[in-house]
Amino acid sequence: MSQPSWEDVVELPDELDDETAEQLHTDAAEVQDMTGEVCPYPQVEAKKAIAGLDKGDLLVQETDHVPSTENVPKAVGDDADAKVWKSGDGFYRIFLHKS
Amino acid sequence: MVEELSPEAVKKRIEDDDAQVVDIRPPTQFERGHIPGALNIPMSQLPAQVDEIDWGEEVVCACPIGQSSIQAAKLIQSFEGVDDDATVASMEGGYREWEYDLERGEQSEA
Repeated sequence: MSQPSWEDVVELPDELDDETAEQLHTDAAEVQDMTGEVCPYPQVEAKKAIAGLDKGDLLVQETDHVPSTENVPKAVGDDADAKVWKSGDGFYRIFLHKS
Repeated sequence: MVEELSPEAVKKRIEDDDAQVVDIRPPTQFERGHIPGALNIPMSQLPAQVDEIDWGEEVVCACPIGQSSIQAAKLIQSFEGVDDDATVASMEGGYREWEYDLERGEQSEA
């Protein structure tokens, strides 16, 4: 039987292309390395960071945990606009622009 | 669509229907206290281990706050080894809302 994949069940935000993601990453106000971390720590840290940013500032969260790409944007809700970039080999960047 | 059950409803399903509880938290958290009889499959290991479990008709996923458990339930539901008629639910609010007894230590048997 085939093994299920997170990508089949997780609802990702809109994706960014490589170039845009790289540029935004350079411009980020804060970058959080959440590789190896699972729920709820990334959500908690994203909410705290967003609360401390100014409107329009960008928080980037890096993760290897696919479900975070849905859960982190949900946790910050209307406080930020979310996009995601996929490396293609299991690494993700979640881009959260403070609203 | 994943059914979300209150902790009270989860407790009732465990007692009445012998529901399988899948705790997707890391083992260290599981050992500190978990729903009695729960199976610990950390979320990161779930895709690889889903085919090692003999899934029943009633499954409930539990996590710290009831968010990742929805995704875990979707993942289990998508597995071919789970009956189409089976119910794979998520515990609403997660362990944060569970007010009932907890069992400590490692799981006895998968």
